Amino acid sequence: MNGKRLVRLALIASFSLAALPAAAQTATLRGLVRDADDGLALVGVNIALDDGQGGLFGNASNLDGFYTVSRLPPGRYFLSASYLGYATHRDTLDLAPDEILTYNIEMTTDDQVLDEILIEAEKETVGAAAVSAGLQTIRPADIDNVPTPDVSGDLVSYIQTIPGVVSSGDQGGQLFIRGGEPSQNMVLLDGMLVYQPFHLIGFYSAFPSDILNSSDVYAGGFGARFGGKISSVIDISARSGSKRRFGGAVSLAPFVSGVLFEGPLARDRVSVLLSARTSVIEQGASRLIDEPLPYSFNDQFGKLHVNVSQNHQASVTALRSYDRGTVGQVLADDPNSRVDEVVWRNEAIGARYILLPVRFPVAAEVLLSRSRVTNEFGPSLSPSRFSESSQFEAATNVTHYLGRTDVRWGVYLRSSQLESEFGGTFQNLSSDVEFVTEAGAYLEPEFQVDFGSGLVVQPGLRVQTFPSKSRTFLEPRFRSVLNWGFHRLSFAAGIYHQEIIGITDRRDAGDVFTAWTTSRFIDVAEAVHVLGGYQLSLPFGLKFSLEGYIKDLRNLSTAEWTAFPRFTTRLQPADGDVRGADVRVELSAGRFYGFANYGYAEVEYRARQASLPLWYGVDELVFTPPHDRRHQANALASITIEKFKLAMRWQYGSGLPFSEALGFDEYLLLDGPSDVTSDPGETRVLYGLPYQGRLPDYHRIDVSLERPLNISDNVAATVQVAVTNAYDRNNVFYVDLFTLRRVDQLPLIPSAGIKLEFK
Amino acid sequence: MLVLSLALAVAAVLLGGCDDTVNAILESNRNISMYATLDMNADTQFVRIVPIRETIDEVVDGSDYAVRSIDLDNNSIVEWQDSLVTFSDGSQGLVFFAPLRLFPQHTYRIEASGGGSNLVTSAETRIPPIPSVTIGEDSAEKFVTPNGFFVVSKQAVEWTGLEREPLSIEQWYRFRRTPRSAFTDINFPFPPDPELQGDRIAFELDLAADKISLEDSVDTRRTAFIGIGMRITILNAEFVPPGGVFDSELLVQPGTFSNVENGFGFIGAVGRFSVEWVISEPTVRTLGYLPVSDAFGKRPSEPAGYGITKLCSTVKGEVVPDGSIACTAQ
Repeated sequence: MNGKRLVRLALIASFSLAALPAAAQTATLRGLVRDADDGLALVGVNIALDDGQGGLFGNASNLDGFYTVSRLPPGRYFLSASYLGYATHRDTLDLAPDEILTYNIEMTTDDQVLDEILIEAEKETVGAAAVSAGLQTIRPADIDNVPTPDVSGDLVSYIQTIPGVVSSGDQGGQLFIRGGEPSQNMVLLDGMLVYQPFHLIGFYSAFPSDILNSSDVYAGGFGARFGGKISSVIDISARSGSKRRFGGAVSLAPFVSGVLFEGPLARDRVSVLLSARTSVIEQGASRLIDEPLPYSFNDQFGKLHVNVSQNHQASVTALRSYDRGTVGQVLADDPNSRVDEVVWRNEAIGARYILLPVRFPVAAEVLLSRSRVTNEFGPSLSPSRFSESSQFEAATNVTHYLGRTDVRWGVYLRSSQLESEFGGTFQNLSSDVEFVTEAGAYLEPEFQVDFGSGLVVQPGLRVQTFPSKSRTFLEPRFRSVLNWGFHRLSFAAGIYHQEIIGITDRRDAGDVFTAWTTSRFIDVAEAVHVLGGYQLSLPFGLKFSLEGYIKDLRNLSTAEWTAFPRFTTRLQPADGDVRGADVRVELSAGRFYGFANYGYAEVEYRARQASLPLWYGVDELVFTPPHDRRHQANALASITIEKFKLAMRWQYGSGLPFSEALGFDEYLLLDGPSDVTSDPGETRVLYGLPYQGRLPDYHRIDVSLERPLNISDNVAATVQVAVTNAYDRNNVFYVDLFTLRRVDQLPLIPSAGIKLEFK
Repeated sequence: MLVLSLALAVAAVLLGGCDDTVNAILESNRNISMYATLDMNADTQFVRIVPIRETIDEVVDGSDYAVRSIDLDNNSIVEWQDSLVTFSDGSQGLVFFAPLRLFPQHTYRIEASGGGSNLVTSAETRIPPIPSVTIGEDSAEKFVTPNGFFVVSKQAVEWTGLEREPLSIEQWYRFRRTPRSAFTDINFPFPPDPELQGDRIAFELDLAADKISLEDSVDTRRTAFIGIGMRITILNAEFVPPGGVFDSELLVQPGTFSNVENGFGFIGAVGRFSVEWVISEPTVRTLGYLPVSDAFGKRPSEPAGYGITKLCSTVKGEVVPDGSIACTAQ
């Protein structure tokens, strides 16, 4: 099926679906919900319509603040828009047959309850135990509960508290989500791909909480709207700048300092939000602990948002990030002569246009984006390895509101360029350039069924085709949620493929260089996800959830095993199994908030390599990859007393696999008459069986105490003191594969920071 | 479930979580790697000793290592002498050497010890037998055609007593411009890849075709043709890589290609066997070469077995002034 045919089919489906409500003589109400104070869109506002005769209709505003209630019988309705922390907005509306009424709502804050309730409001639909078929939604207020050595929170610090998420540690910027590799995670910011957004220091990403609206983390089982990755999706929505007043913030801390600016360029119509952060680790934290911390990173973010008209919105989002550092051991003091430095740069820019056609109960968005990442590794002045991936994407997503059924569909076109130079270490290629074109479409209806307190069934189908490779994939997906009083059951399943893969030599945990390529040397990576969960929400602020999952991974690319101590991206195919379960409990009571979770996971790879029968007498090497963290636990507590907010986080992870060795020698290839007096040989690591050892368990506690201060009507400050790794645990980061040296994570680091906010 | 899970996590921390030590080194009874290709043609043998170390940049003091060899067929023991060799890349290695002529078909045991351990690392290797060679009579016949003439000239060569296929076979033609000038050897690509049949390899040289190929390399009208040489190189029976290919990526895996006990590495043996012979003067003339007698005014002697020389275990044979070829004695 070629791209043109897909588009034609999509248009036919669109008009057919759009014609349905007209034939039914019903009305549609829709609009935008905003904060009356700053004009920002409000997410999750409940819109209820009561016809006074027992009929109740409703919906909630989406990530852009839009709501739609369709298939309404014509007549009079009493509307109420409610959102905790805001005064309920009420009105009476008359809807005529076939009318599509646009009704925008401005919510005003309820000053009497604001201080105490605002935080509660942000948690109503989200929370650490509110996982639903692999999906957890994260809001900025959740992020700010996690103690970090910075006054502003960061998305990645919260993601690391999710059971099943294994990070490479304090350094490295790698996240493994429910057994998947970092390059198998899809990170989207306002719909545009961001390749490698997590900074070298594990507390930080390119997403400070100040710029976030909401983030959906799908640890698996994601719907048909997403494709191209086989492990997880992190779908981030950035907030817009205020359209009514200027504001800003400046923060100073030992790890990172930043500035933020927002305000209207045209009141109520155009706003801008700008954010920039830079690391000050070498000047700050490094001196605090008197240890070299050779990391530098920065990120810049900007979003321009335009209310084009009552039914149209446009935005442009841009992100840039830069990371440079030596992971693990520092082999040279001079930063210009480090021999194993890694550098990566992200650039992403995207434009998004949202329209609500006047005549149809349809919401549509058009996305154009370009993303790029470059990776370098080696001596700082002349890196020996280089890899670049860039992607242009054009996509359209459409939602038809058909009463209790929403039908979503979309089409997309992607063009990628992959370039790399490895000096012969990648499949014996010294350099490589590839071009990949991909087109696809998805259909994902969502049915709401009257069963229990509500059953939502969301089947889906995604088609991906690669014309240049003559490959087409059909990916069925399914998600379902059943609410029944305090109980919620959820289930998800799907098939996923990944054509563009990132290759990292996982034998060496300190090597975070990623080479981007296609799966031309092996079959396309494929995954099957099945997960199911149960959630209990009790009225006194206690939530409990349990979720189990299985991921069947096929055609993975793992680094070929070799005893030569050197980087390799020579690939060997592998299959994998991931099995696990998470238990979460969350309590929100007055000024106390806390959660605890535990995750059990098993990750097993079965690699095939021609030499395995010779080396080990087996056709398949069964091993646990270096991110197989069996047990994981997190506990977080925060309490606010007299404007002081004390937050503590304890994390525990059982030891990760690593490869033990007998030692080192020099290897001489004797293939005939040889002169051992002139051949120095090549250094070799005398490995035992791969990944049979386990590192010690990892655990630490982080504590922060902060207090807001009102300096004037327009200036507020937040002062924070924090301790990272408070009991100074010697956590092992990794054992260097090539030197067998132990590399530790960060020690106890005290810090203090301040943030000034201007309104 | 939650209580149980949390209890497990807490128990895990209490029981194992406090220990933060890492030992990446496995217990082993191997502490030396050694490498050598014992050479039948050399009178001094060398073996590289690599102490296995726990860190990559550990400098090992080689002074307390010792190596000896035992000829298991006559129980003669030779103590080897140590030396520290600096390689071209600046690194250093421990190389032991000993004046030792190897006997064909004898098995030698190389033993290394040291590094504060009583463990003896050893390897045994058997020296390959000396093969025999038979050079058949040369023949040459000239055929006249309307367009000119062509020559058919063949000579059979047969090697026997081979334990395995040779690692390589080389062939050369030898010329000399004047009685006192240096020899000119034209190394000749050995065209066929003969198969070992039992313990023998047999093939037929096409002397006429070789002559045509040689025209570009040497002026055969002004340079005396002396004779033909052939060398085979044979690795001993232990020298068989898994899979039949010397692939560094494959063989680097410790223990994959090793005959060393209590250690790693490989000890093998190699023999190079050469033979040189002359061909009859009529054949030389028919082929169009300049015979020695014409070039230097002397006729070659007619030694017994003219054309079939005795086996030489040397790189090159010596040529006596009359042009005949003899061998350096074994």
